[in-house]
Amino acid sequence: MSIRPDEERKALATMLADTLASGSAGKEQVLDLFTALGYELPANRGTVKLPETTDHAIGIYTPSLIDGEIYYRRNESFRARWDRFADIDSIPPKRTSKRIVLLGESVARGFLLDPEYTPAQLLSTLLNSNTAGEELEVIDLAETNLSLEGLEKRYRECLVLQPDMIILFAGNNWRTDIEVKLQRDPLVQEQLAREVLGKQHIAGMKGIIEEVFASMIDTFLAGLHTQAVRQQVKLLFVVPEYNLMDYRSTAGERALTRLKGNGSQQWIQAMSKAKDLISVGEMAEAAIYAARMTVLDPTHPLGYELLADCKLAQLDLPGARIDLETARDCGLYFRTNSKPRMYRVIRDTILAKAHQYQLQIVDLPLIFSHHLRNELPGRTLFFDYCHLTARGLQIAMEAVACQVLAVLYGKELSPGLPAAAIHPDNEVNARAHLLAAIHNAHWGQGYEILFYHCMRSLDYGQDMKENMMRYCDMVTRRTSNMLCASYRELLLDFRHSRHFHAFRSHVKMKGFELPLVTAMTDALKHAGIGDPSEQFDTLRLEEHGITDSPINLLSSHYHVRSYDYYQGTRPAYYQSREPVSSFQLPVAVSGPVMLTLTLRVPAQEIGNGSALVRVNGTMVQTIMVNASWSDHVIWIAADQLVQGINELTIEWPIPFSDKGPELPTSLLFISSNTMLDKLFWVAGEIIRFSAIATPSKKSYIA
Amino acid sequence: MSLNIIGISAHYHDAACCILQDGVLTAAVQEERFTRKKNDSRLPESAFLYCLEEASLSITDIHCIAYYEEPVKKLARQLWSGNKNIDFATFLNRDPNFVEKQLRNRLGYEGPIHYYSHHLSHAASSYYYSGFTNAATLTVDGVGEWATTTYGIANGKDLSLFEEVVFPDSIGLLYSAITSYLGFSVNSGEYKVMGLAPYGEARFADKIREMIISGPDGQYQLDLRYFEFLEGNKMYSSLLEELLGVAARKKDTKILQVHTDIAKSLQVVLEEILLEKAIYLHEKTGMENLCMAGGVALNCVANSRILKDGPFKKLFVQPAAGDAGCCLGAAALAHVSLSGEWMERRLEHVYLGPAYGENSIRPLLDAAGLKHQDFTGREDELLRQTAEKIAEGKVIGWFHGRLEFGPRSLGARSILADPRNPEMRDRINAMVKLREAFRPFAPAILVTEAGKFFDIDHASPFMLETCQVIADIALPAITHVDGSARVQTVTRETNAWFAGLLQAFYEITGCPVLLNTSFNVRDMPIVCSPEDALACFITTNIDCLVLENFFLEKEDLDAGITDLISSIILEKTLPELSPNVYTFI
Repeated sequence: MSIRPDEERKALATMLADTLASGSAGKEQVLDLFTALGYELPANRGTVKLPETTDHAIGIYTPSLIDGEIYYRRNESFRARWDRFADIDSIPPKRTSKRIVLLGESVARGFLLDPEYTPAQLLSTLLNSNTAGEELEVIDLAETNLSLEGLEKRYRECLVLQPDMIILFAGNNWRTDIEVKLQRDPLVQEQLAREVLGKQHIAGMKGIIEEVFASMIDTFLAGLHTQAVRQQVKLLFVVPEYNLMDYRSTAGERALTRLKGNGSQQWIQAMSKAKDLISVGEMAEAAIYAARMTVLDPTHPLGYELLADCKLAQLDLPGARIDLETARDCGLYFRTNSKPRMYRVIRDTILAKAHQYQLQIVDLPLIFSHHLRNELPGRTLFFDYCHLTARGLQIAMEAVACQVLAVLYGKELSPGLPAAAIHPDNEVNARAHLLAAIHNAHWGQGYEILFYHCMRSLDYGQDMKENMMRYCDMVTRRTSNMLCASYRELLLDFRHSRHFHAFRSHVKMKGFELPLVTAMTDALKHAGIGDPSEQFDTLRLEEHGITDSPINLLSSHYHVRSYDYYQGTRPAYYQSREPVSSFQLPVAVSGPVMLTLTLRVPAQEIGNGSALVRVNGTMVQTIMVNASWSDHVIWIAADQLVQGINELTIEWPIPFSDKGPELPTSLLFISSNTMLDKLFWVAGEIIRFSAIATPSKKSYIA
Repeated sequence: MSLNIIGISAHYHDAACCILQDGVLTAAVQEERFTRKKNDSRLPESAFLYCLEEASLSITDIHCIAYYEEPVKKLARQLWSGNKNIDFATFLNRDPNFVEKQLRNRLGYEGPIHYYSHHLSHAASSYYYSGFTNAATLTVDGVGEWATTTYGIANGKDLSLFEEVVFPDSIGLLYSAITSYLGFSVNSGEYKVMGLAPYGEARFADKIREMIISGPDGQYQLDLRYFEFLEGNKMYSSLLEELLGVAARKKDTKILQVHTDIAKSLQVVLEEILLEKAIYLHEKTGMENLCMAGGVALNCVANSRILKDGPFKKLFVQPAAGDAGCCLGAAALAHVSLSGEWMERRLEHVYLGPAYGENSIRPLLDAAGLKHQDFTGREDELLRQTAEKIAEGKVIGWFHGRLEFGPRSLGARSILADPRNPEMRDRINAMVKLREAFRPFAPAILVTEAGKFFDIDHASPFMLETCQVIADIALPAITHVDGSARVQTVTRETNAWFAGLLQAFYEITGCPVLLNTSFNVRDMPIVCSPEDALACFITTNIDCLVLENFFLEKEDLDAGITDLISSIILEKTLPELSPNVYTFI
């Protein structure tokens, strides 16, 4: 039953709302009014409470009694999550053999090879083929997408299975846990704001995040240890590695940082110099500029990556490793929804705490380094950023098997069946490499690695050519993938694949995927299967070509290059956080094209600047821009255009500010979005951008 | 210089955006139609961009954004309520300047923003589009900032509210509480309760009257013992179950006679109190015209009662009378304020959303590889064939022209069928719309024939009035259990194709009436794009699809293919909406 509040309360509520709206309210005043209205302030901040297991489920498995024994069976009500788990119907009661439970995330599932070829299967075969008389049972409870919080829950759940050992092959997904904490905890947000904005020390953000992160991991490991001692179960942690050689930062991860003074100008100039010098092989000099980039902006991955390229060319592998790991760790600045990865702080914390919490360790960075004789890990071991190829899994699981035998039996792995002999079928590999090409393309990787995976796919199975043709057809069309006939054909061929959803595009993010289509058609040509590129070029023009009706160039097709997106405020219009925006104009007609655009440069705090519009590298117009929207019409002459795809770029004026990111007057409503928006520049914004073919400027005006 | 004003409703439910160009409404659309999330309340980003594009305007051409409520006052009311869902963390997210920040940072708008109170926006959304030169206004909904019911008067360009009932006393919240009690969703299930009412007896009317006590003038009070919405947990208290002597119905359980009786009783009490307050309003203002708005004004049965039994001679209800329509009111208020002129023009139609031409549809059909007929240049043949299919008992998905604004499909995105077929209502409810069996359907009729088939003497273009069916021929699929129908009259001037189809059906069957229901399935917004329409066609038992000049018939399509597409679409939700599923975090 409701009780009608009194008028005095109405006056208080109105005063609080007005005070908040004024934007200059003191925190104490606001909180006094808040409590006067009867609301409670939060208790002292503690660690996030991890969920207890109350439903007796272990992931998708629930207990059922069969012949007087408890089996854990896949529960129908969790069907939507089945494909995130092993393709196993039930977990039997423990018998006489020793039992190992494998926990983890998509890496531990064997992403792209699963369910035909998984780490658990490989480990089980290795163990049982190489131990005389000992029988070991490996129960696969790894789950795709599992977070740290989920891992803790699964760990508690699985203890009921009476494992002798639990292997945790995880760590790649844990950024999501820290992200949730940052979003939900206003006090951490305030701490970050004071450090990063108040002291204008952007790089300081990472230190605070790492501190919180290390504390979370320590709490997690301590919890594991307590339970493990109580249940007398051994723990083995497999520390994942990252694809240092062949996975580079995406466009979203390269968002410009708001540097004080002319820092951004200097950074962009250094970047241009470094790239130019690398392109002509002047690596030593390029390294100077790349290093300059890292000094100017230690939060940006590109400087480290370019520096690593220089060091790789100079065969300085240890130096390149450090730079590439630092580039990887720039994901902790949360520019974008960076792909899963093992951050240095995670590895360091686990290794540092291993002894204290009696964790056995398989440190894959070390294992792979030995295997590769100090070369950096790349495409032979990884499909993408963190998921392992069959070869990568073989090496990893061989190391795990050695540890398991040492811990459980004090034995060494006998050389009966080598891991390399346990491999997936060619068909499984062919599909996995095709999916790897698609997945890498969706996350902004370049043509060369896409072509590699397409070629590997065709090496394993020539019948993948039809699927490449279908994929190219589907992605070239305007229609949503799911309504395309080519999608249906792919589905029929991949209907048993749990990774089929990789063929879907993200909502409103379907792009031409030109590097991938080119990689596929080149691979088909290279494999002697023919050259279908003209077919798709024609289809693209039919579907997207500029005609006498206006085309909205802000539609995803014309500019999306990657599925990652900025983590701060995302507006309704196009926003560039890179110094140059790039659009693809499919042109079928032979006349001029008229562009209409409305744009602004919100970072241009000192007045007007110039945005340079180029088509296929040739300057077509300079536009005066400032912090307010302005409308422009640009004519592109017929002789500046080619039949097919034309690259239109807008080079934004280099941002300049006397000040770095500032601390807001009130921290009451500081949020992770506000923080990010203050840390990273918007290079330019476009709210209207249309193209129309017209016989001539004169005739259009007439 | 022309005056361009954007109106916006958002952040509660049914976000929408419209544009007024020199006082002429040229575009309006709800955000849910683009995002495909029913009742989407988020800032209408897609709708905003669409309005600019439709008007061929740049954002620099916009003189003002008019927002449909006052955020600071609304926050005060929320804080006042003692809502248990407000804790320290949520409090910190209640930035009263949030609306302006969103308009600046998400829509990129740099110009002036005008805020108008929620109920003034409602009143304006009706009056300024009514074509009346003066009127009384009555707005009734759940709650705006503080007001829940307002009484106003309008003369020429001047509109003012002179009395209000304030939160927590609210007819809208009474209606929503009973809606929730009957197992339907608040803010979207109210019209189901209205549809259920004719099946029942008003044997609980006295009990409902105990929940709301009429006061002097326009005032009334709720007996808060029967409610819990202030606390924010649920709408009604356990005392309501004691009062009615019936346990609350759980969602998706069987609807019993007692539930229909409660719905009827609520309807009777609603009509009583609205009529009483309308009489008061008339006495106070002396006006002949009444303009109504607010979610409660979507109760077309009550509207008809007010017009029939009340003192007003004319009634205008803006077709998007709920919160979505508030954007029209806010924009109109800004127009009057900035131009000093008023909007005399009556809203003639609501075809204010996006249209899609051949260059959108042909590539879709080619990509999908589905057999279809192309009637380009042969539109009369298309209408004739469609009418014949309807006469054969087929259910048609009808996609033509600009999308309707508001909750009703009025012949742009409609499902159409033969109203003479006694099985058609159950068939469409069960196999096409996938919804409750009791839900009634409405008729569309050529305006020239309306008086012969329905007890109505004026145009009803927005399906907001009920009247008795008086046709010589039986129309069981659109006749409600009490012999009434919620009729839409159609003219060639506002929808030539739909009128042409009705004419063709008339010529074939002698019946100028079609069953017309919204082109969607339960819990989904009305279709917007050709892709939405194709997906709805394939995943339901709609027999034929008219996509502008293109015609598809289910029986011409390979069942294996449609089954496959259907399974793809129905499984799509998680992967498409949550990138994390594919991206593995």
